[in-house]
Amino acid sequence: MTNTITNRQLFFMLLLTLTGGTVSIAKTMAATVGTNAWLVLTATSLLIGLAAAMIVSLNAMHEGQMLFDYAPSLVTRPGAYILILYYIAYFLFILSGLLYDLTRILHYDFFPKTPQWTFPLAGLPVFCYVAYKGITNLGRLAECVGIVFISLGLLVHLLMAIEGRVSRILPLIDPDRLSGFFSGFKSALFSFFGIEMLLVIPFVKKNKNSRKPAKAAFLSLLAIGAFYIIVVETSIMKIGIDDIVNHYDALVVAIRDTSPKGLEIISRLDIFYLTMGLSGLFVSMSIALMAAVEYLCRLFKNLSRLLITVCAGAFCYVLFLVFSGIPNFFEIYPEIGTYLGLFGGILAPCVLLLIARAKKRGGKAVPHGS
Amino acid sequence: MAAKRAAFLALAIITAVISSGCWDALDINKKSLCTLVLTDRAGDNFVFYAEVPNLTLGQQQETSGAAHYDIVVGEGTTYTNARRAINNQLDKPLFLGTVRALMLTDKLAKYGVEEYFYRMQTMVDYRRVLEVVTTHSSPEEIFSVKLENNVSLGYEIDDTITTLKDTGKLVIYTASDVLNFIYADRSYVVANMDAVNGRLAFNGYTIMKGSHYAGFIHVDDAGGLVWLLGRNIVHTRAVPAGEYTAAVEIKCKSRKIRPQYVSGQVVFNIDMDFTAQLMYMNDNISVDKKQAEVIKNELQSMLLDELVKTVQHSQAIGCDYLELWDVFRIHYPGVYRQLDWPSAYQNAAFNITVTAELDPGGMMDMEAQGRKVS
Repeated sequence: MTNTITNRQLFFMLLLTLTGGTVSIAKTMAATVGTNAWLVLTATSLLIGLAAAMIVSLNAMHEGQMLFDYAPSLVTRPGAYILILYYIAYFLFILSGLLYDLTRILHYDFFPKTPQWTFPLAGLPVFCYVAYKGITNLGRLAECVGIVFISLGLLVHLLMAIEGRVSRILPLIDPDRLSGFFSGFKSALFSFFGIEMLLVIPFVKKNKNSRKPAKAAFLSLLAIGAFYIIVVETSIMKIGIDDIVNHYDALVVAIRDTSPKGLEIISRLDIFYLTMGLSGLFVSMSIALMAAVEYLCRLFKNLSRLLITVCAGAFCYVLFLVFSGIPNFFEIYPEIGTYLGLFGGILAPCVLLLIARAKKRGGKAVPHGS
Repeated sequence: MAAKRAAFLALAIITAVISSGCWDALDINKKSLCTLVLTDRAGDNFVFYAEVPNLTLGQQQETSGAAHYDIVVGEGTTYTNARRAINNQLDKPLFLGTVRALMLTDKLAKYGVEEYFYRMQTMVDYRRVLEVVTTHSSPEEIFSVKLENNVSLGYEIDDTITTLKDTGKLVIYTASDVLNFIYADRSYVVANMDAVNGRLAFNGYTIMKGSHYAGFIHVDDAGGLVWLLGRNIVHTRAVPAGEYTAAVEIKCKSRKIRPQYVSGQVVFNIDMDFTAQLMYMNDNISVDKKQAEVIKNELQSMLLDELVKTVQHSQAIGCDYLELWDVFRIHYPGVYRQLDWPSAYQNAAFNITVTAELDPGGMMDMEAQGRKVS
């Protein structure tokens, strides 16, 4: 099995991985920067787009290899192991956090009587199965789900915009709230993390245009930024800034407030979203688990992939139960995730790329494989 | 291969059983579907009136329509107590996802509706897209009205609102809008329906300031309000033109509101552009260009008068229910945050201009036969 994906699959994998946290983004943006949200999201998508391009460039320099394979040549073997352990812990943490988020949404918005510990029991076996199948299959799945997710998502947001009030997102630039730009930027960062999963995707040069995947990754992040802007703006148009700041599940509340009269079949948009919108979240969790499994498989070469996948899934469930016992974890989780993501998504790849470039320029051969 | 199939089958069964066997699963027949919620304040108590269908009568052919619905009343010193009182009477759990209308009495509006809306937004099955209406009538009067095409009062209210809204006659807000107004402490209007001569009728707007009742505008005096707030509003007016009267159908073509902040004073420049169609005269007279001009001028001054009266009324009671704060906020966000808006609004200056285009008769030749009067 060749662990490669096409640029289109790369886009949908990025889209689905990142958009796992769209439910609360409207609240955080409205609370920090108000109607300047689009400005902050544009700036963040540009920065993270560059980071994604950087990761892809790093991988492209080591053709057909993932981080685990080429890291020893850059930061020595012990350094590489520390880095790999960090990424495993990071992905398992993110996956458990996403599970925690998902169960909160399902419990508070849709199934209030169902205990939260039951939801992952239904989802995790599926996520494990998908992660077990590897990058290529996941890429194909992401393409299928992603097309449905983005087209129906845009339809839902179009309906929200039609029913919403444009005056609520005006003025587009509010000078008084520009001072909150950096706190808004910090809040927005977490929604863009997930690009670290690119480190497990080996790139193969199929033609002379080796910069193409990097460009594709950068443009994908810009497109995701545009999608976030649509999500935030339509949510504000629907329920207004004064109300949206009260809801951690701002997107679900905004969708609930939308009831297209002419289209009776989708008048309950929240149910529609439950089936369509959450499918994106399911795939993003599968991708996070797959990333952790890829590293673990390299680390424990003697163990079967199936056993590793099952163990990783079981560990995530335990971690999820621990998180559920921590009061207000939903407030702590994005904070921790942002700092972890800054290291894993920007700082570490940046340092690795600099070392790789320096070694290349110094004429030292970069041994492939370990 | 067989082991793989068995594992897949087991996975599918476990997933299906867990996901479909949610604790929340409840057959629709085991719920009391509510179609109307009326909330009242009686003395120191909150009172809920819930309209629920009486399914046992569904099979009886001779039962009259109205009897298909029961009104369950719950009273308590708090909303939770009132709801508990309702629950204690129902043989099945109340389901609020089917509510078609939310009605609040003027007594509750005077006491304050804030808590009810805070309560409402936490209920998963209660929909915030519900349109809110108030009433001056007592619950007994409301529940004794004669229904037109519905067997449920909830559906009757919803259909009446929808018809008025679709024909451009009504300004209406949803529970979500009301919540937004409450959080932002703004003034707004809520459509009012009362029991009039044994029928339920829309008869004006209740003015709310934050979560409290601040006044009432009768539908006959609400012309300016709907022109300034409504979308796709269509109204007919009897316009006096000399000794005759012209029936005219009016639509708002454009509404431009430009705020200014001059020397510490808020100024609104409102330009309203209308199109009107002359439907008929009260006498068989010829409507030539001169006569059409007379009607047009009268119409313009009539519309201007409506707008000025509405603005003056809102300023007099210190309630910006015309949402002009929103227009000012967009243009001057920094200044708006520093202003005490109610007092700034009361001292605001208005420059209102009205223009109207009159189409005499549409496809009818209004000059063909009538007497020449001009």
